[in-house]
Amino acid sequence: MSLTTKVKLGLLATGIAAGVALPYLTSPFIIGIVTLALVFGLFAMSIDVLAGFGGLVTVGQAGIFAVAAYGVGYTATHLDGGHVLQVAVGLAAGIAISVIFAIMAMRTSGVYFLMVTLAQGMIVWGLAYRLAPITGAENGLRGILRPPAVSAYWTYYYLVLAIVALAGGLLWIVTRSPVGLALRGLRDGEDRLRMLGYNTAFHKAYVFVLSGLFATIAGILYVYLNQFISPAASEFATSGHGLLMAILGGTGTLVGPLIGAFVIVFAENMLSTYVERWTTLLGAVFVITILFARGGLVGMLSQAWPRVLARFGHPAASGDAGAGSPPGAALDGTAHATSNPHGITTEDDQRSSR
Amino acid sequence: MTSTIPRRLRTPLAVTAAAMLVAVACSAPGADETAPPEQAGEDAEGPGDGQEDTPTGEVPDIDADAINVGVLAPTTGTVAASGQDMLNGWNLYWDEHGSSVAGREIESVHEDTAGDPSTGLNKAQRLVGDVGVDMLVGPLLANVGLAVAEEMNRQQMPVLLPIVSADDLTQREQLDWVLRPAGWTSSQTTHVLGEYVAEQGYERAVTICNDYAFGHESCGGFANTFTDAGGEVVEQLWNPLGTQDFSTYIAEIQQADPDVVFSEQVGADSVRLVQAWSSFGLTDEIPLFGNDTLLDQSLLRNMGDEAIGLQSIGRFTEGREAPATQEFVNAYLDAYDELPSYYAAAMYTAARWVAEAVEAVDGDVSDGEAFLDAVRDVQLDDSPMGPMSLDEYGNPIQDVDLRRVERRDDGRLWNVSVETFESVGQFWTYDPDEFLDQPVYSREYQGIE
Amino acid sequence: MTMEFVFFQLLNGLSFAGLLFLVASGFTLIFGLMRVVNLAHGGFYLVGGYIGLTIVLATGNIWLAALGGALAVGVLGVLMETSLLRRVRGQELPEVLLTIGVAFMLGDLTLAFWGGDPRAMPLPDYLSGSVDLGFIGYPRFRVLVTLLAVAVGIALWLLMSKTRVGAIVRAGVDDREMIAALGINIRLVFTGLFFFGALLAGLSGVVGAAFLGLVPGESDIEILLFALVVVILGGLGSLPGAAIGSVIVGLIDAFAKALVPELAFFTLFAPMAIVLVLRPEGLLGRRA
Repeated sequence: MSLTTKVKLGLLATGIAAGVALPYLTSPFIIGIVTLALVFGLFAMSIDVLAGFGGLVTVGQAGIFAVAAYGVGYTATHLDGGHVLQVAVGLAAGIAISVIFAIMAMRTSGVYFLMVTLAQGMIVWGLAYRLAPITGAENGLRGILRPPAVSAYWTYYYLVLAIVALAGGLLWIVTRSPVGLALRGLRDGEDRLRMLGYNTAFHKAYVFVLSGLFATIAGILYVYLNQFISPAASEFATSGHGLLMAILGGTGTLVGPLIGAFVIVFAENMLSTYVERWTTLLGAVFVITILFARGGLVGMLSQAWPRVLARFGHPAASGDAGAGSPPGAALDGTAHATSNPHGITTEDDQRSSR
Repeated sequence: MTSTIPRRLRTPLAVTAAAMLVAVACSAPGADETAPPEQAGEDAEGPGDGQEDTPTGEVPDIDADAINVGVLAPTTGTVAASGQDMLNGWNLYWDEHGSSVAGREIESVHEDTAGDPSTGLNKAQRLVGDVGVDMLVGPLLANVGLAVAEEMNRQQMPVLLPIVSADDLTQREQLDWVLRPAGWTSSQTTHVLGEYVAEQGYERAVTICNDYAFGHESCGGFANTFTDAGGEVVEQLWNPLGTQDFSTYIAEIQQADPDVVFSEQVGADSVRLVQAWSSFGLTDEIPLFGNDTLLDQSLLRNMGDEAIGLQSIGRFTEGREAPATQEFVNAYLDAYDELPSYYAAAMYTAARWVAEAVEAVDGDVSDGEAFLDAVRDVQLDDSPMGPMSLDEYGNPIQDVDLRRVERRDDGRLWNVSVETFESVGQFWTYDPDEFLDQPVYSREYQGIE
Repeated sequence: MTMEFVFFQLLNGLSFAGLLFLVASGFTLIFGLMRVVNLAHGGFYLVGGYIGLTIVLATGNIWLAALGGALAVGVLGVLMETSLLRRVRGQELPEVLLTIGVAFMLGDLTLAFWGGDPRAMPLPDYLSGSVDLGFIGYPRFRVLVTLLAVAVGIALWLLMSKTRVGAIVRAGVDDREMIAALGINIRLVFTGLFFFGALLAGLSGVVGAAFLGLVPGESDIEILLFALVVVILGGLGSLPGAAIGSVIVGLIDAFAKALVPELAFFTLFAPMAIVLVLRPEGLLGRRA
């Protein structure tokens, strides 16, 4: 075990220790917000699996998130199922919809992929409003109680903290596995990968489902946090916020989406009382991040404190096996030339690919 | 956070942290079992009620002298306009009457729900946990209201719902800490309409309502009394919320060839239905009757000639001639340059209700149950919405009007009263116990035998 | 089901398709020639509708409203193209992400400016009322929307395939350097194109305001979804594809609501899924 790894683990432990101590330091309201931020952090991570590591920007992830949540909710309210069954149905529903979406999207890339996922997410939103017998339409499903062991707000917070930490660990492993490498290959040059004999469509589907699994878990945690589910969860805005969290924090990094989620969730719950045009502000943050800080907060840190970051900020700079390109690389135009369905390479493309 | 730690501290910090990790690894997942003694009992008490005995280091910033009222209303998002109406009505009352009641100041703290249940619940938690309000009033949407009411009931916080009309909150699923001063149930007004329409001699009705609980309940009220009075419901159409194009439904209505149509719609769907009704030339062919929301003032503001002459049932009629109504309407017009919607009227009336209840307990709202009892006992002899008092289930007995849309001299559209039905309760003329034995109105159960 | 009912539904579907084509044509045009997926297109539609509504309420003239709404949104499009998109020209994902940010802002700012109440566009008498089609009467406005869509479709096709401007644009897409070598300002061509696509969005917004009404935060998203399904079905970037996609979606919408009301929205999803699996480039899209 290298020194840097020890330091990283130490910091991880500090983070977890702080997380564990938190309920003793602050109010239930704040804990509620932190829990929500953790759930959305996981959700943003799921987007980052596709966008940051695979260069496949999804804007329909809220669809999967919501299907899982509705799976739990429907089992709880209509089938009187126990918690084990609820979670099982939620997982099954989330994974099933991920597989269906993956099959639909796996032969597309670049902006086509983005559009397909957008339509997918919006259709779930539309169905959440319209399939009243299953979803309760606008009223949603209520009375989805947490298991007794985590019924108190702070015990549930610990559960979410543990699961998000585990999921982060899993993601860390996956991005360093052969699949993770293939995923980066997808981002950096799908054609090249195809020529090497990879079945790129299959790889995409695989990663899509993996990403869907994270979104599914986030959806299940979300529904138990609120103890109800309504169509608002499946809105385009939810997917958009998730993507913004990933981009703002820094795509292609593990901590980026989590940091982004904390910034957005806290800002929303604290600022929106005072800032009337909150959504406009979010849109502006979106634009500014894309134009001026594509690496997100982690990327900015990496420029400001390269040495600090080299040791624990994000995997790219640490020189670990499987390390990728800098944060936000997925969003630079590199995916463009390869995903261009007409095979047109323009002068601008060439410039941006350099 | 991590990156600002000075270099020389890193290694010692890392070692300490690693040690903590070991400790944490044992306790974090099982925190509910290894929690400190003062928390261990919480699980048994159910979610949310750990409010008082949590290990919190913060002292909430309560103004000890004032009575703090948390007002939940959406002021952003798609229902923001009606949410603003709610605030306007609420504020108008306190502006007119002063905010001092029984020697105590009533301080209203507004939070924006954005029309989203999750946000609404967070904001309610903030009002209760961080601000320390004594009661919650609002919100607008049923989904937000239900989420807030259930959670706050668990936390034993008084919740007053002047707008949210989900039937069962004062019927089969009453919550001890939730009352509806100046509120209503969705089917309360449409019960009246079904019987009235049948008595006018109409025999074959088609209903077209939104496919969710509010639509099911509004429509059920109509269908139940209409069929009991001898009418026949020949077809029930359920359009999803957010129906863009009503033309298909128009075609189906024409095919069913009814002699009367009842419709519940909300928001944009109301505007679109009324628009389609007129552009397909049905205005002169088939009489259309609406529920409260189809032709509420909040929508009439933006409708045109196509709405004139349409009739609806409603508990607030801005063109009602009674002095209490017209005083309110004119004051509202002066203050906000528009006519009040039912959202504004209900919140205005609810404000008065709160004031009278606070008066009755001499300004001491520390005992939530006693305060709620005082809310139950309030009798409004008159209000912009007429006389009101709560029944034993916590829902008002109130006047209901059959209304018709007319154009005022100043060019604005408004509803005028055609006929007033006095002292209507949520069970209409049915026996409460028998009524409650039936399921709540749904797509499957519409009270049609 | 009577023949009359079927015919009525056909008209319902086709007139809705007309509106969808107006929306989707601008979207697909910008993509086909500039490769920019403009997710602010729904926001453009909404802004166009509101500006049109404001003009109608002030002047009572629907034609002035259509002109004003279209031009204003065209200018908005130019602003977005020159101030934002040009900075990331050629980078597909940043381009589309920028338009998401703009979509957020437009939706919220229209809410701030025009309020959240649902609005409907009043029509002059000669556009409202119904027209006798032999054995049934049908709203005149909806018939006109269908005809307008057909006219716009033909005009666009002629413009792109028969005129010098169209030739320059097509050439510019295929080979920018060649066009530049001919002394044509390719930047200007693209800005002009974006203006034109946004103009169509604004125009469709004015039509849509009278057709469906306006709701901030809902109309823009719903219409964007319909436009997406239309172009995914028909083939991204293809004008004839947008026409076919519109007709398919319009007819499915009308008949599904009557025949399988519970599945009304799912019926949009199914054809899209089938097309994506069997022919990802869309019915008339070009193969990658």
